[in-house]
Amino acid sequence: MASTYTPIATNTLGSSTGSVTFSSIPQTYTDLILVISGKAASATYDITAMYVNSVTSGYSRTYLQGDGSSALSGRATAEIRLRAGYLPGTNYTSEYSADTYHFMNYANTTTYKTVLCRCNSVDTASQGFNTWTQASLIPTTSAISSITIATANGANLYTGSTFTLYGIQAA
Amino acid sequence: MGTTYKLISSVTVGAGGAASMSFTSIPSTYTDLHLVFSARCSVAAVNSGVDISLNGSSTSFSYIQLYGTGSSAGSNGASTNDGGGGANGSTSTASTFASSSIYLPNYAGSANKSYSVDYVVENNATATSTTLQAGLWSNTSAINQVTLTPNAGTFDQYSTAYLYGIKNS
Repeated sequence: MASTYTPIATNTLGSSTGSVTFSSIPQTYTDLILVISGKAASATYDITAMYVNSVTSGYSRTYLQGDGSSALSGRATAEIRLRAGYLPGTNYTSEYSADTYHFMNYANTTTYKTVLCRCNSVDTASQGFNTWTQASLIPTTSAISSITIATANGANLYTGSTFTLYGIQAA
Repeated sequence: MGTTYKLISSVTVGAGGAASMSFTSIPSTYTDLHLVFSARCSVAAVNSGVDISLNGSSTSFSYIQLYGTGSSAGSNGASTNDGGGGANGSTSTASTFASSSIYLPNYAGSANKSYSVDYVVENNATATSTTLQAGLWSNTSAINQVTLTPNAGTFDQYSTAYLYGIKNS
């Protein structure tokens, strides 16, 4: 029996960089899981941004977050990229995020694509940042062949950040 | 290529219960750890939090959580190690065990250890909850031991925990 859960590619940053791209994603799996242990090369934080294929408009999301004092839910539409969780900045010496993104039925050519996002960042001093869950919509019926990860506010992705893409096969 | 997602070890609580469920001598050969557990405990309450200790340490933890109770949602946090999932208590619906999932990416790396916790404590009545947690252990050591302990009481018989290793190549 073929393996159900297979690493497709991984990237650990040896130096800060603007973005990480997984390209030529094989179309042979059912779902994709992207695991990010991320940090922003800015002082406080930045926010994960993803670009799927060549889609640059029409992303939408519904999110639920807790910041340690209040719960918040919101919705955004007509965005230029998939916007998700917080990446701790360099003020927080050794904190990286713990994020998973589940791209469901990514290779189908019939439906828009949905992503379940689960993002976590905590800083040592004050329990700052948040825990975040989000359902995102990528407005393309094309199979996902490329995912580019960057930041929403322009900070580089910091040294030591890791990005791993897994394929899950239903049968 | 070896197996990507592999069971490292499991614990099943026997008759008489157990003070904790522990995994020791965790190999450092994986990329991430995924701990999944089903738990009920002896405390006279509907639910109980679960403490997580890493490498035998219960210090240098902090967490933020987001929860829903079926009637309200809220968020809080603390600089303690009790953000490690949940367990049904003895006054909850019989035969009902909470489900928790803890994901620890880069558990053997040299940064502080961030982790994600999702859990539900179901009860066919009031006082249930679903909770998301962001956790941090401010320690750069590779994780070689994970211990789960109920905030109060002991784990009941039939509580289980499974530790999986995930390899990125």
